[in-house]
Amino acid sequence: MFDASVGLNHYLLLSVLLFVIGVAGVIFRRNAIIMFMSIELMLTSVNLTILAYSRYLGDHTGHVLVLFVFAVAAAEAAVGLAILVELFRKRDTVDVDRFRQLME
Amino acid sequence: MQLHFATVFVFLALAVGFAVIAMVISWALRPKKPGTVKESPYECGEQPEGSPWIRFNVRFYLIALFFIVFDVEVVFLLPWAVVFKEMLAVLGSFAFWEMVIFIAILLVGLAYVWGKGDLAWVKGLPPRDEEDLEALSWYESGRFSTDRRSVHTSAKPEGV
Amino acid sequence: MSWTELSYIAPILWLVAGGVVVLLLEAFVPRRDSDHLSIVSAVFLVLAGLSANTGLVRTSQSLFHGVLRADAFGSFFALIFVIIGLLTVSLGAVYLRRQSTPMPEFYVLVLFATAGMMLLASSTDLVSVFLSLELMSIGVYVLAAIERNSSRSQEAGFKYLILGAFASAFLLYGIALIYGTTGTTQFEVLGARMGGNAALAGNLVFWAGWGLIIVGVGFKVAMVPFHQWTPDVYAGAPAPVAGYMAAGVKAAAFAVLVRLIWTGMPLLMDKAAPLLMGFAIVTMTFGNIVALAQSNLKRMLAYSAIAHAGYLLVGVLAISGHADDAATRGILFYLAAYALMNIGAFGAVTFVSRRRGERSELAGFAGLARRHPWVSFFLAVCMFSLAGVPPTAGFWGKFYVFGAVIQQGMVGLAVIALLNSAVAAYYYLRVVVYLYMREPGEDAYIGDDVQASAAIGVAAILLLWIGLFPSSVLELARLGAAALARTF
Repeated sequence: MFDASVGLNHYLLLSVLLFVIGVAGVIFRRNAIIMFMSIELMLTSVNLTILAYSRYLGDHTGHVLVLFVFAVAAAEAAVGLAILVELFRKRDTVDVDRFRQLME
Repeated sequence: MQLHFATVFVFLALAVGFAVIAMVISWALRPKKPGTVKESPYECGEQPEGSPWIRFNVRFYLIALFFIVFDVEVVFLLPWAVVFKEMLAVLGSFAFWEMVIFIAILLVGLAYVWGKGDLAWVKGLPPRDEEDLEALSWYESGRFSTDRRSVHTSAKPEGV
Repeated sequence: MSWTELSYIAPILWLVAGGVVVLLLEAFVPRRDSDHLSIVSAVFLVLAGLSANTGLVRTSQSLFHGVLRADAFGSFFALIFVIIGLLTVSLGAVYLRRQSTPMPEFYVLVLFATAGMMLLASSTDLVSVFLSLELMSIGVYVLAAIERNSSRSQEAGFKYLILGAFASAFLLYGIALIYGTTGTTQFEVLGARMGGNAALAGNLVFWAGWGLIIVGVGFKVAMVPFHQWTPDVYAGAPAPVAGYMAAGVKAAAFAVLVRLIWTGMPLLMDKAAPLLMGFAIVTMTFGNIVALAQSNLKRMLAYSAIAHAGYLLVGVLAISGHADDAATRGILFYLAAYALMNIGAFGAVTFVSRRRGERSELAGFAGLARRHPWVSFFLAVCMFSLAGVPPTAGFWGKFYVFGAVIQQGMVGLAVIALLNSAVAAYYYLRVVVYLYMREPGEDAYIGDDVQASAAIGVAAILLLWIGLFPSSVLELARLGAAALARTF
C-alpha cells in the first residue's frame, strides 16, 4: 500500500508541474486565449505553492497574498481580454503569429 | 492532520463506475435504428438553422469582464468580516472606514461604467465617431438576428 | 494609529484621488475635448509632488506593519514620478487633441500607474511589491493599447500584457519560494534572517526564488534576455506612452531592485554578482549594437533603453552596502536624468506626429532645425544627454555610476561600459547630424504644437540645469541612498 499522507513536497511538486504546463502553454500555443489561460494556470499554481507554505509555516501572510493574487489575476484577465476583443475586431484572428505588424 | 484520501478514491471510483456501467447497459440494450431526423441536433423541435459556431455579440464579453472584476473584489470582504471585531479593538473606527474607502473606490468604477453607458445592452450614449455610427446602423438593421452569415463578414479591413 | 500613517503616503493618496475625480468627470460631465481633464490631472500631480517634498526631511518611518516605508528614497522617486507624470500629461493632451476617438482615460491611467510607481518605490514587503508592480503595469498595458483606431497600438498593448503577465507570474513564484524558505515577506525581517544563516545560504529553493524575482524585475527594466517586448511595444505604443514607459516603469523597477539588493546585501551580492555582471554586459552591448542599425527614432530609443538598463545594472553591481554608498546615489541621479531625456526625446516624436499616424522615421527629422530651431535644440540636448556629453545631466549620471564602479575596483566592467557609451554616442549624435546638417527631404516633418514644444523644452532645460548644477539633485540622491543605509 502507499503512504496516504500528503505533505508539503507533494503540493510543491504538483505546483511546479502546473507552472511548467502553464509556461509551456504560453510558449508553444499560438492561440491568444489559450495563452491567457496558461498564464492564469501559472498564477494559480503559484497560489498553491503559497498556500502550501503558508499552511506549513502556520503563517497567515500567504493567505493574504493569495487573495491579492486572485484580484490581480482577474484585473489582468479583464484588461487582456478587452484588448484582445478590440484586436480581434480589427484583425479577425486570435492567432498570435498573425500579430506581427510591429515587427516589419 | 492525516487526510484519508483512500476514501475519496473509493468514492470517485464508485461514481465513475456507476456512470460508465449505466451508459454501457443502455448502449447494449437499446434498439439501433439511426435516421436523419434522429441524428440532427435537437433545437426545441425546430429545424436547426445555420452553424452553432456564430460569433457572439461583443457586449457579452463586456458584461463578463465587468462581472469578473467586481465579483473577485468581493473576496476581500470575507477576511475583513472575519477579523472585524478584533480589528475594531486595535484600530478603532479605521477598521470600518478603510473598507468603506475600498468599496467607494469600487463604486467609482461601477459609476464610470454606468456613466459611459456600458451597462445598457444597447449603448444609450450618442455615437461618438464613424465606427460607433456604423456599429449602431448595423445593430439597428437587425441583420445579425436573421442572416447569421453577416456576423462572420462584419469584420472591417485593417486600417492603419 | 493608522490615520496618521495615511498622511505619510499623501502623494499616493493625491494621485488615486485625482484618478477617481478625473474618471468621474470623464463619465458624467461630457465635453467635446478633454483639455480640462489634463489640467485637473496636473493639479493633482502637483499636489502629490508638494506632499512628497515635505516627506523628504522626515526620518525613515515604517508604515502599515512594515508593508511600506516613508523615507527619502521613496520621496526622491516620488518627485521623479511627479515630473514624469506632469510631462506625460502635457504631451498626452497634445496627442489626445489629434485623435478622432480621444480616450480621456489616458489621464486616469497615468495617475493610477504613477501611484503604482510611487508605491513600488516605497514598498518594503514582497506582497506590496507584487501589488504595486501590477498597479503600475496594468495601467501601462492599457496605456500602450489606448489608440482605438490603431491596431499597431493594440498589438503593442497585447504583447506587453502577455509578456508582462508571464513575467509577473515568474516574479510571484520567486516571492512564493522566498516566503516559503524564510517564512517572511518583509524586507527587514528577510534581511535579518539572511544574515549569517548558513542553512539558507545553501538552500537551492531559496536562491531559485531570488533568481525568479530577478527575472520578473529584469523584464520590467528590459534586461537582455528578457527584452524582446521592448522594441515592438515602444514602436507601437503612442509616443507619450512610450516615453512614460521608458522613464517611469524603468525608474520604478530599478527602485525596487535597489531596495531588494540592499535587503539581501552581503549574501545576495556574493551569489548574484557573476550572473548580474553577465546580464549587464550582454544587455548594454546588445542594446547599443542593435540601436546602431535603426532608422526609426522610436525603435532606436527602445534599443537605447535596453542599453541604459545595462549601464544601470553595472551601477547595481557596485552597491557596497556602506553608509554613504556612491553607487546607489549614482543610480538615483542617473534615473532622474534618464527620465527627463527620454520624455524629451519621445516628446519630439509627439511634436512632429499627425492626426493620421505617428511619424518617427529618422529621415523625416532631416533639417528640422531650419523650421523648428527650438525644438531641434531641445531634442539635441536630450540626445547629448543620452550620449553622456558634458554639460548635460546624462554626463553626470554616467560619471557618478561608473565612478562608483571604479571605486569598487571593477575597472574592467567600467571600461566595457565606457566603450559601450562611445559606441552609443554614434547613433545619438547621428540624430543631431540629421537635425542640423541634412537637407530636408520631400516628406520632412513639420510640427505646430506649442504645448508639445514647451514640454520638450522643460525636459531639456532641466537636463541642462542639472548638468550645470548637479549638486542639488546629487544631494537629494545622497539623502535617498542614506535612507537605505539607515534601514538595512
